[in-house]
This record gives sequence, C-alpha cells and structure tokens, in this order.
Amino acid sequence: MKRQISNANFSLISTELEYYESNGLITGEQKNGILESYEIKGGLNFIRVVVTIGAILVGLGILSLIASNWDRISHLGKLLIIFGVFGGVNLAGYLLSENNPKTSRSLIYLGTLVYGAGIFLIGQMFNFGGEFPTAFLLWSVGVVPMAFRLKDKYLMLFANILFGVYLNGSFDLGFPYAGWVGVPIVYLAFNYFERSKRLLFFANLTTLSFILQITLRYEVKGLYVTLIFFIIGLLMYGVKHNLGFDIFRVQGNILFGVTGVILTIPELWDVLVSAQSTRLVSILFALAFIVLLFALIRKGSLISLVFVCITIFRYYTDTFAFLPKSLFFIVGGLLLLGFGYYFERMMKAPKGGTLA
Amino acid sequence: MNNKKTFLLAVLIPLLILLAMTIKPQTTVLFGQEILLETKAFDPTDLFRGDYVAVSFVISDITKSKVTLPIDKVSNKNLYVRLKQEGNYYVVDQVSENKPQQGVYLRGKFQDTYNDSDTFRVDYSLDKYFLEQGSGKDLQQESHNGGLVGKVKVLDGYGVLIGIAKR
Repeated sequence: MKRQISNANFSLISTELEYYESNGLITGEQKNGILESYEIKGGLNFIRVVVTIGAILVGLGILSLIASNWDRISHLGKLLIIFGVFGGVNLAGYLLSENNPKTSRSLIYLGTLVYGAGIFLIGQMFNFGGEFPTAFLLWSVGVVPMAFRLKDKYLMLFANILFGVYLNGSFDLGFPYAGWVGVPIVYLAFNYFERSKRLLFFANLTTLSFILQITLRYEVKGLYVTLIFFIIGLLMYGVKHNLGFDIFRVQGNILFGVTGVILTIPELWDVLVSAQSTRLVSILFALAFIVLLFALIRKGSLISLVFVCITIFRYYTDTFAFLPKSLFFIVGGLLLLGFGYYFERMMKAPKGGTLA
Repeated sequence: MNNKKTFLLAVLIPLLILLAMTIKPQTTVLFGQEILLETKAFDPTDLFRGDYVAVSFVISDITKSKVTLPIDKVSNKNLYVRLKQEGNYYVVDQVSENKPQQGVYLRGKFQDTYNDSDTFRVDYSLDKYFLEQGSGKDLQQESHNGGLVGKVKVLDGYGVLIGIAKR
C-alpha cells in the first residue's frame, strides 16, 4: 500500500527531489520511484462540505425559531414539529445511506441539531430556571449513540464539545458528577474512532476541565490549583507513551507555560509563605521557570520561546519604577548575550529546531 | 443486533431523553396545586431559549429568623420551604431538612450567605419566564411600576412557573 501524505507535503517532496536530481545526488528514475511510493490523501470533499454546511444552516434556523418563541404555533405544536423533523431526517438519512452517503450523513447531523432545539424548547415550555447547563449534558448524551453507531468522529467531536460546555457551565449548580462517566467515554471514543488526534485533543481538554471543576468544588487555594496544573502540564510534556504523544506534548507545553506565568504573580504565594517573602519566592520561581524554558528551547521547543517572551513582558508591565527595571533588564539581557556568545563558540554544528 | 436495529436505537435514545424531560414538569402542570407569588422582574435574552422575563420571587429571600437549622446545614444545601397563604399570595412559613408531611412546599437550594446579611437567598429554579421575542417590554415596564405576580404549579416540592401577570 502506498504511503498517504497531504498535497502540500507531496509538493514539498517533489520539489526537493527535483533539487537532488539537478545536483546529481539521485537519478531521474530514483526520483520517480520515490514519488510513486506516495499517494495524496483525500482532502476536503466539496459535496460533503456543501451538504454539511446546508444541514448546519437549517439546524441553526430551527434552533433560532425555537428561541424566537413565536406564539402562532403552540408549544405542543412546536414539540410535535421537532419530533416529526427529527424522525423524518433520521429516516431519510437511513434510506439515503446506500446511494447518497454524503447527503445522508448531513441529514443525520441536522437531526442532532433538531434534537438540541427540542431540549431548549422543553426548557422554554416549562420555564426552567437557572443557567441550564444540563441541556448541554443531555444534548451530548443524545449525540453519542449515533456517533458510535456511524463511527463518525465529527459527531463524537461535537458531543465532546457539548460535554465540555456542560462541565464548565455547571459551577453554580453543584458538582458535575457526569464527569466521572463522561471522561472515560471520551477516551474510549478516541480509541474506538481510529485514534483521531482531534478527538484526543478535546478529550484532554475535557479531562483538564473536569480536574479544574474538582479543585474548585473542594475550594482548593489558587496557588495549589495552579501548581497542580503546572505539574500536570510537565507530565503531559515529559512522560513518553504511544497514545498520540505529540498532542500531549503540545498541550502539556502550553499548560505548564500558562500556569508557570501565573505562578510568577507574588500575591498567589501568600497561602504558603509570609506576606513579606511572596515577592522573593515568586522571583525564584520565575528564574527556575525561565531556566527550564531555555533548556526546552535548546531541545527545539518553540512554544517555550513564546512563554519566555510572555514572562519578560509580564515583568516589563509589572512596575512603574523605571530605574530598577532598567537595571534588571539590562543586566538580564547582557547575561543572555554572554551565554549565547559562549554557547556559539562551544558548539560547532548548530542544531535545527522543531515545533515542541 | 442488526444494522437497522442499532440505528433505530441511536434515533430513539434522543427521543426518549426529550420525552423523559417533560414527565416531571408536565405531571406538575396537570396535577399540581396552583399558587400565586409576588415578584419583581426584568427582560433579558438567552442564546438558545430566547427572550424571558427574569423574575425574583419574594419567597426567594428568607429572613434568617425563619430558619432554625445550624448554618452549615443551610449553605449550599437543598432544603424544603413550607409556604402558607396570606391574602392572595403564598409566603414562607418554615424551613426544614425533611419533606413536610402536608401543606404546600417547594424544594430550593440555599446559597452561600454573608454573616451581616439577615436573609438567605434561595434558588427554586423558577427565575425565568420565556415569551415571544420583543413582547417582554410591557411586563418589564409593569415590574418597574410596582411588581407582578407569578402563577406556579407545585407538586411534591417541585414547582413549574406557568404564568406571570399584572398584580
């Protein structure tokens, strides 16, 4: 079987091979042989895009119709319309699945939006109070069976995002217990749906949201919450495994970067040390953090470079005492210039960098 | 199970969820006792459910003297609020941990409270009344002029807001 790559990568490879050929490194025959071992992966399918956007538009229209609460149609009438349209598009989707698979799939997508409209209609009919995050939980629960039945990763992605909205929206309403079931399901889905990287990305976000909700629920102090996520970020970045390690690595890098910058705020540390020493502790942390980031930049992590810049900028805006700041920045900058010069002399062959 | 049956199952699960959502409120609307409550109101919008009148019932603020339970059994807890009729309206009678044997009562969540405040804020999930887009202005105006009344159906501690009207 031929190796599948994207169109952009294929054109890069063919340009490079032509360059090797013109240099006499390989022959024209070798070039063609290499190129023939690749196959361009199917990109976006135009028909699929058109019918999917069509389904989304109709679905949003129905959601909006429900939100308008147009009183020419009674609530019961609207509920019957929702049931009818939901049943109808799913039946049509099923019947068309053999001959028009793309239209069929978009009708199923439409069905999931109509189902969501039904949930909000019922919330409206009975004047449910509060913020109603349960709506997103029920919406998600209703989408999952069809996602598994059709093995459709986009539906699963939608269900995952809805579940995330529920998790993050239910702070006032007590603990989101559904997380204990939902988090394992999103990873099960990742495994079941051919280990799609997008699913893993959102599964990790869901888990992190759930951990955040647990810490908020138990009223963990801000410092410890941030430290927990800093450590989780480091583990995600550093612990090697086979389950989409590159996704973990990027997310971990961003996570410990963001929480690391937050941890340079002195006020956060007052739960651990006395008020006089918060500034010192936060600066010691910031120095250690910067050293860690530089070590990772040396290994080729460009994301770490972004966080070095953010940390510097955070200190630049920190105070209006310009003279001490001026001294701090000039000394820091000279140190870095000195180190750079030293390393440049030490290293004979420069290393290339890659993202993360 | 064959293909057809699993597909049918995947379609039926959402429908059953929708039906299940209506059981408790619909039963309350059909069989619950109707009570009138005094409210204050204004007119915002929800992205998915549209315009509503946000109502704040007088019974949502309970003076601390009416609550005999210790504070740690009240904050962030779901408690039963027994109501009694005074004139046209129902007002708070007493608060208890256990379901009252008789009378009209609502289950509500008591929010965190400050020591210097002399009332508890209680959430009965009755704070929104949805109506057709653009039609909330009159009610909002009316609420500025001295309040509205909310009609609520109550069954077994669960309430459904079925209407609001001028006092």
